[in-house]
Amino acid sequence: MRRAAPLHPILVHFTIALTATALAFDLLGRVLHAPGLAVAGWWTLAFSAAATVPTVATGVVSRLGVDIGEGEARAYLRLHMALGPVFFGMLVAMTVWRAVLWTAGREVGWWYLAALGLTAATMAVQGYLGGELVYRWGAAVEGRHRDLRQRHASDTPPRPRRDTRPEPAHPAPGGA
Amino acid sequence: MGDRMTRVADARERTLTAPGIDGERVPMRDRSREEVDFCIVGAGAGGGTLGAKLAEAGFSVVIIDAGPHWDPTRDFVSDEAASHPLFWTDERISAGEHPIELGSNNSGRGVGGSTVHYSMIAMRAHPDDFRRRTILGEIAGAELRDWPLGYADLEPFYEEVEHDLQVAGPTFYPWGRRRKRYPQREHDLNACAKVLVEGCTKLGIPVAPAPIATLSAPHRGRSPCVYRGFCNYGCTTNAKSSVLVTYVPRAIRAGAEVRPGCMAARIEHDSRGLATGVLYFRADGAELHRQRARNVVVAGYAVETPRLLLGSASAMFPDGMANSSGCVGRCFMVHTGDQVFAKFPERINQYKAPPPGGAITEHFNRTIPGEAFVCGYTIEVVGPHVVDFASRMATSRGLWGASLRREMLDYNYWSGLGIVGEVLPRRDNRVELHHDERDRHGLPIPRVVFGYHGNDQAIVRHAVRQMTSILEAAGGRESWHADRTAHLLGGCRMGHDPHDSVVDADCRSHDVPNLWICDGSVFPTSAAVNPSLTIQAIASRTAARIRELAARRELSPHHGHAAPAARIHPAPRGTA
Amino acid sequence: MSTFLGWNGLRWLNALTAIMVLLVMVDAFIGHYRSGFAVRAQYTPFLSGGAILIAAVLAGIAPHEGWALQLLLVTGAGGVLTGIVGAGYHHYYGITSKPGGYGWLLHHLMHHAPPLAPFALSAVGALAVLVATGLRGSGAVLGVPLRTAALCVVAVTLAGAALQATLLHYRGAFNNPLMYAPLTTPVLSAAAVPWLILTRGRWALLSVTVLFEATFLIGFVGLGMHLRGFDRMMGGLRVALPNVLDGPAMTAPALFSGFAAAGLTALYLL
Repeated sequence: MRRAAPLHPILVHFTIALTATALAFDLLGRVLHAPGLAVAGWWTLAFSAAATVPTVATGVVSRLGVDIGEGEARAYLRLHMALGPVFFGMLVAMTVWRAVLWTAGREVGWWYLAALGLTAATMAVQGYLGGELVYRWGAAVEGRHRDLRQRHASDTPPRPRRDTRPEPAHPAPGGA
Repeated sequence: MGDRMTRVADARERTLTAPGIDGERVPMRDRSREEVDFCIVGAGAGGGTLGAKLAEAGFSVVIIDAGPHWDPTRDFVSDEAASHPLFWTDERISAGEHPIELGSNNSGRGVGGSTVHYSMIAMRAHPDDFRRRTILGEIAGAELRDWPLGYADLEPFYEEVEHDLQVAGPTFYPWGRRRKRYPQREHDLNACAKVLVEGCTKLGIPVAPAPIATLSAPHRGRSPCVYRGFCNYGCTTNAKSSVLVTYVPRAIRAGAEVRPGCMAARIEHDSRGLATGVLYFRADGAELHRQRARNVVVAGYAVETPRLLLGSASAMFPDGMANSSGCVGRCFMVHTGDQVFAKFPERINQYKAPPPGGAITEHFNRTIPGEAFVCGYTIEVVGPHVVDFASRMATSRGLWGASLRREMLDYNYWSGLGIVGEVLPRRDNRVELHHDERDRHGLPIPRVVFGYHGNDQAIVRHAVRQMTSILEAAGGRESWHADRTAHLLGGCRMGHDPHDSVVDADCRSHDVPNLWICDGSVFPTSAAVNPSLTIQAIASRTAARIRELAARRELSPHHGHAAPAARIHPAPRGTA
Repeated sequence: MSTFLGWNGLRWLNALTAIMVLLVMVDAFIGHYRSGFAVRAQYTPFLSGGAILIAAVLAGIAPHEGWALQLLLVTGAGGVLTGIVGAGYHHYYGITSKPGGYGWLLHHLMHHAPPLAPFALSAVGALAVLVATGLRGSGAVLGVPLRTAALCVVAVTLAGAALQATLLHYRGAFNNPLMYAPLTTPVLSAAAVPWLILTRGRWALLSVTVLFEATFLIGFVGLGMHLRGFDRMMGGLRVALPNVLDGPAMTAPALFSGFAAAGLTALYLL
């Protein structure tokens, strides 16, 4: 089952590209009042929602193989895990909304575009977190992932606290 | 000792690191060259808690501890025998009518102290526990005293500590003063706790979920308990809210230095009788080091605290520091910790889950009408691991060789209960310095003299009867009894009268105004509850009082002197 | 009755039923596997739920075949019954037979068989009955119009699910503020449905719609947070099995989304 893990970085491209393209089609379609672009917008979004099902599923599966200690990298991972289904839920809701507009033959409104923009923004955050996990923390990168804890420690070099107090006025007693 | 060479610990300031709780290293201030506001001896329940609160209040703090700074992710193992470094096993002489066992059952070594291996039962003492003398009057052979503070004084600090430790407890706790809900919900029961609940239910004895200082839900970066069961040998998952993973990281974050491997040798004082710092040995060397401090806090628990005070005797303090009352080392107490085990037809697996199991009854924690004794005891669940259990079988039932082996095959079918029984303070029970035996540093070793009061033994007899009937009501057979003690208390009791006590309610010594004692040794009476939460509540209260005193400029004992202590100020330094 | 993307409301409800019975079975399996299938009756939700799933798939493929609808009706009714009997089992094995019994009620409610969980199967079964009845041409179940009946099922289920979730989130000491989420829009939407049914007002319709939409999204937030919750257990999803067994309910939050979607379907397509 963990063999499926490398599929996640492949599948995210479909989600990202299709959602972003759907936003672009609908935005242009609205600005240019081009019905062809609107049709493209609907289908792209529908495909995006469909493609995101395996994206989320492989994402969960790839988590099973990542050995990662408590720390900042883990916090990225947790947020990435929490945000995934939220983004998917937004995407499904947007698809239903788009379908309602499409079946009614209506042009998309600005509210719709704003909501789709928000969805795409969530996706961007999600993609950023995923990118950081791999490129910065080396999660699931063969040969590197064992070092996560040390990398974390060395990333935050020891920083002594600033002491604003004067040193003791008298010399240290009992010197050798 | 004075002719020995002393020196300041480190010549140059370095940036230190300390083990974090997730296997990382965290940066730590080096304060060895400074004259710090507080030098605390002992990083356990008292010292660790106090150190964190003082550091967060802006004081400069050094906590020294004789043992290592444990890294919970690497140093703790699922192996009973390999966990012995967690216990204080330095040489001590145990004497008296009923010499007590000292070691794994009552004292810890290293940063975190006994909380690293304690059973995490987080109980509050009850209002009556603080007024034993008033309630019971004079009892022959015992030296009962009221505490100089009451439940109401400690209540907010109990609450604070329970929150800091995220104690997991029942929604409604049937005993004691009405209280706010515990920060986390109770744990599920293990099989031993089910035995207690079943037996008590059959006998009509009230029983409730136990409050345990172990996470039952995630908190910050720490995961909830996985019921591994090695709580008494160090928690590897950080679910256990020991001082090592709660207050010590807070202290370090707030700028305190926690210096492990330092065995305090004596407290130094100046010609005015004020403490000036602590001399200590590094674990690896024979030479003395000095930590200068404007205040010294002794938090070494009920044996080592009196030992250090007595060992700091000088021309000015011939009987030991803070000992003008003669009370240092006196009225030393333990808790009776007798256990009863019974065999069950079904598997119990008593090693599983935290040893307190999740259930408790304080039904007998009161003076029971119609009985010939005063005070009472709490019944708790116990779950000794294999080696521990075998040694109890050997010592209590006299089994050895083939018969011990045969009995141990049924280890998984035994279930046990234990008590925390109140022990009355007796003047003759004491900690003193041995007249000629010395430890490896050349310090006199402590001699612990102990004997029970008749009342203590009557409590135990009653408790053993009750525990046996509870186990039998739940279906247990072949029960047997192991006598045992737990928790060390007293020896530097607190009180209002400087002639009759060592410290006041703020844990400040009557004799030396910049010397404080903050651990279980300040208890005037023992209270039949596990003491750690009360020790930590007292430490929190002491920290709060120190802040108040500092704000009122009453902390400095140097009236009119332009002495270093006058520079103590509680200005927050932006790192809370 | 209007259609959406070629399917009428009943067929959409049927699809949602199929998805949700799967979700219910996943959580039931995790819970029953955790207790080791110690009681043979712990297999029944999978027999009953599996039958509903098969029937719903068949009814989705052949929505006009009498036998398929008959099967859906029977399995749906079986699901309703299984849920009710299951709740009895949960009560007996989770509370009555445990040490301490009712004296430790709150403890047992938090730590043992979730008392309301079996009703999820009843709710899904009720939807199946409703779909089968509708597809056979009847406009009412037990004399109640389909739309009203569906909304009632959704409202009662959301309220019950919120109650069960609150109980378990209480056990987790509400360690994250988002754990209060089941007490927000699911409860409000359950409360707003009677208002809509009784008044049929425009504001009531708007409120219920918005609340259902919000509940739909909150279900996905819950799914994400539960996934994150597994990761806050010792070792995280790296040690998947113990943490999935002991951590938050895996698919339970999705039921909020599913029933909210069923509610929206009932509002606009029935």
